[in-house]
Amino acid sequence: MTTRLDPRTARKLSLFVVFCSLFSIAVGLVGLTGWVFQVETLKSVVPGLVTMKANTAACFVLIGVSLWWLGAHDRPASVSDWIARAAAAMVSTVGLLSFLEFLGGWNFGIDQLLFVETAKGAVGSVRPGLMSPITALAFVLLGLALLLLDWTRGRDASPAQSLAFGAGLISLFALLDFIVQPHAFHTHMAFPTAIALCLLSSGVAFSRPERGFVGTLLGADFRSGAVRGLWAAALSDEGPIWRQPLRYGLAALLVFVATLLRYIPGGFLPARLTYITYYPATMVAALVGGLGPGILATLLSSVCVDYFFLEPKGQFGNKNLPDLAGLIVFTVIGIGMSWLAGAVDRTRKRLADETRRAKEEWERTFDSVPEAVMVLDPEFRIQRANRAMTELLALQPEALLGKHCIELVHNRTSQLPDCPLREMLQSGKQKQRELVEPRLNKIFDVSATPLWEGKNLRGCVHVIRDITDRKRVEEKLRIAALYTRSLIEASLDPLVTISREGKITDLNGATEKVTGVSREKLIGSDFFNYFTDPESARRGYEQVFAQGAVQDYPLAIRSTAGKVTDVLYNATVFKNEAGEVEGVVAAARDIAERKRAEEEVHRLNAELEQHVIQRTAQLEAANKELEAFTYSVSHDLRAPLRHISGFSKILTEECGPSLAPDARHHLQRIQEGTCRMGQLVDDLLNLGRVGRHEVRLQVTGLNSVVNEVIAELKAECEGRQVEWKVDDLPFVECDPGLLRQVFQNLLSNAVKFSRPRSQAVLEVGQKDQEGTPVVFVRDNGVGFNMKYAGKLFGVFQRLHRSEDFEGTGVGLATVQRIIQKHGGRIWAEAELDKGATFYFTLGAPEKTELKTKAATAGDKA
Amino acid sequence: MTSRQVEILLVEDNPDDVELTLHTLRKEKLANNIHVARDGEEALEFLFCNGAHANRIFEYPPKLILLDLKLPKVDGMEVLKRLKADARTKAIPVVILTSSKEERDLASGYNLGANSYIQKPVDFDRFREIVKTVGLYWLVINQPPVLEGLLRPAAQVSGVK
Repeated sequence: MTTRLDPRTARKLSLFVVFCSLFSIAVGLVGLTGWVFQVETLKSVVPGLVTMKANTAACFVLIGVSLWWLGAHDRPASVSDWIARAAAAMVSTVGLLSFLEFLGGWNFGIDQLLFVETAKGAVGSVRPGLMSPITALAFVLLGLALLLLDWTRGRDASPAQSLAFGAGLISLFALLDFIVQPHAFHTHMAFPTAIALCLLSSGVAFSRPERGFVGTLLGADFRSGAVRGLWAAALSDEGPIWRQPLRYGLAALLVFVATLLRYIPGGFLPARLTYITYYPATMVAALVGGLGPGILATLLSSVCVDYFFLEPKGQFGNKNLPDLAGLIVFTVIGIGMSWLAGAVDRTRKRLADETRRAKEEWERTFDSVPEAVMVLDPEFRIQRANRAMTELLALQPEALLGKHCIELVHNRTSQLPDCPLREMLQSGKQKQRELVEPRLNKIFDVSATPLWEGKNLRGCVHVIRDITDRKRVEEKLRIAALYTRSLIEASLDPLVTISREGKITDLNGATEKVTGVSREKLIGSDFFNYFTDPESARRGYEQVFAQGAVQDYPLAIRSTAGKVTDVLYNATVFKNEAGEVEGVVAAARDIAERKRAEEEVHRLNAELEQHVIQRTAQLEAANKELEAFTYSVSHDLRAPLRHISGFSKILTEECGPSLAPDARHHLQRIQEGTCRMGQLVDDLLNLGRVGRHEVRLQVTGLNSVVNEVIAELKAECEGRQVEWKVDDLPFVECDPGLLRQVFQNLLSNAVKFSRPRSQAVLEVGQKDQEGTPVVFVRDNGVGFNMKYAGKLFGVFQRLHRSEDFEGTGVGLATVQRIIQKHGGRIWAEAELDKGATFYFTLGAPEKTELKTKAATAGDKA
Repeated sequence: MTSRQVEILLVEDNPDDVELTLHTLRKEKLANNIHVARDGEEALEFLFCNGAHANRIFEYPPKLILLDLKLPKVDGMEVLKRLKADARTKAIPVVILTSSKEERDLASGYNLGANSYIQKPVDFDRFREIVKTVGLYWLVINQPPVLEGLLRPAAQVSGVK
């Protein structure tokens, strides 16, 4: 509301206000002086004219002081401020009382209060001492104006300025009274009063030049189109009446002019044309100002006509009937016209508002649509462009207007070959197409819609939508879809998707192949129809829905050609975006190949089984044979030996003495041979038995086994010096019978091969070798050469001559056999003539029956 | 009557073995009355007094049977089984005298009620020792059973006791 004025103007206005106030005070004081000294000249200035009343003069002084104080001091209320306002209120009150006295013809006793005026002196006055009603009205308005100055809400100066404006109009009216012809209008006003009132009104109006509508008026920039705006603002009917001083002022002015025009021709105009100037004035006031100003003009006109032109002139009321009727008719017509004008005005305003709103909406819409929009003329020059368009081209809106779209947008001189505008122009219909704009590296969706004006093409609306991103997304989606599709198609397994109703919704080439039905026919058909057992297929499908998935569900697909393919189905449900089960996706795996392979495996297994059975039978047969052989060896081979031994013995005993010593020796050799042979057979049988023997494990203390064996062997060592050293041996899991044989063999060997020693030392001990207990048997006998160590454990292998050390060469082979059956290992260390040590370990005993049987025949160690 | 009493029934098919066994027994003067059966069938006929021995009197069974296992016609195990199955003969001591030392034979021999099992050693001296020991034991040391239905003086029985 506040206008910032330039300091010079402000200062000038301030001085003007001071001048007005001082002038008022001066006029008042002059008037009062005239009254005090009864100087007529001072009372009326122009002799013969109406005098300035004493009250008027006093009011001028008061109001002048008030204006001087309030106008010069635009600041918060203070005591002096309150005094100034009280003065203004007093002026207003005096004015109001005087006006009421005039209207009602009353006498409140204020007229002669200061000075008594004689009737003679009061020429041209309403009555002696009573101020002019115009002056009284002006004082009411000005007093109120000063009272309201800075006092209304928001320190709005408009009400005060409106009141001052009204007072100014009134005083102007009074002034005219003197200009045209003194007291022509019967204003009853003194001449200095009129001038002082004019100045006072201006002073009050300009006392707050930076605020109110005066501020607006002074702040307006007249160089721009603001005058029109100002006029519109002045005529605006927005807000309360005091905000619309021009409208009402105009009405008053029009009435004033009408009065003037009616008065000047005076007597030339017939009396019945009384209203000739008032009708147009009222009409114009109503048309321009609307209802309120129209009514004001009507009422003012009525008052003026009544006062100035109807008999008795210079008075209100007391009219004759025709005049009264004419006055009432005028008033009714004026009010009616005002009402009509107001209605028309309201409609016009409403329409204008709607248009403005529509325009605004359209412009907002035009600018806010994301698509670039241009309005082109038929030559494709840009008439309008929205914000999206200017942003797209990165140009200011002004740079676009009037330019040719081909040049500006496409940067070419000739028309584009596929421009939709041209096509639109040719066909007269809307055209749309996608354009690639290489300059901007974008893809556009471009449309051209013709604008018709009657049958003429006025131009077109050109909408350009940037679809680059969409196109790129579409391309990506297309590629993604293609990728997905090609994956599905690439599957060698027949894939299908099935709806809840059991209809096929999608499939791949493998499905077409296996069913022999084309994709078009498969889609929408019943899934279960393509199986040898549709019921089973249906059950499987229901199972998928019930459990969410099915794995390796066996079915057989029957093709149209009748070929049956065994398949395993793997199926799961698939869901839509909302997570609801949409259907089933099922993949079939052709298991024909697998079935063949399985059958092949079965066949081979069966064959193998057969082979195993045969081999086992053969082995068993061989075993039987071996047993039979062993049996016959033990029986049949031993028998002749026994007989040879027996008979040769008998021969020796019975014929010995008569035989030559040589013959007896031979008989002796026969005896020994048969004994060795017998021993050999026994050993071999034992070796075989050990091979066949099933190891029966039990925890055995080796010391007890060794001690038993030593006890037996001690008999053999009779007469020899033998030292037995037996360590603490471990408890082991073994077959005690077999272990006994081991020690028997090893220790008897030790005894045997230590025979040449005068002092034999035979040792049984244990040592630890990498966490495994190793048992050893050591002697200090003849030992052997380590280069023959490899032969040591072979059957019939001997490292000594039999005449030196008897033996069959089977013992160590048997020992090794036993150790091997216990999962252990045996080895020997020896030095010729120093002795030998046999080491063995016992590991996990072997369990394999076949191997032991196969090994019976005596393997080479 | 005594002359007719067979003290030892030698069941042995091999003539050499028969000869060596008899030689030893004679030398040791262990048995005067030895009957040799050359196969299992003959042994059974002898024991049950039928066939070729139908004229034999059942009341005089041998005091000891030396039984070889490997025999023609009916083998030693079968003979053992039959005679041990019969109440009249099952008390007669049977010593298996064989070349076999097979565990299988040992087991089935004892299972069928053999009283002893001896492997014929190759060494003739040891063989002689064994035969002598067996003869002494079973014919002299061992108290023979009272055979059911046999005509045998009660005094003799009680006298030994």
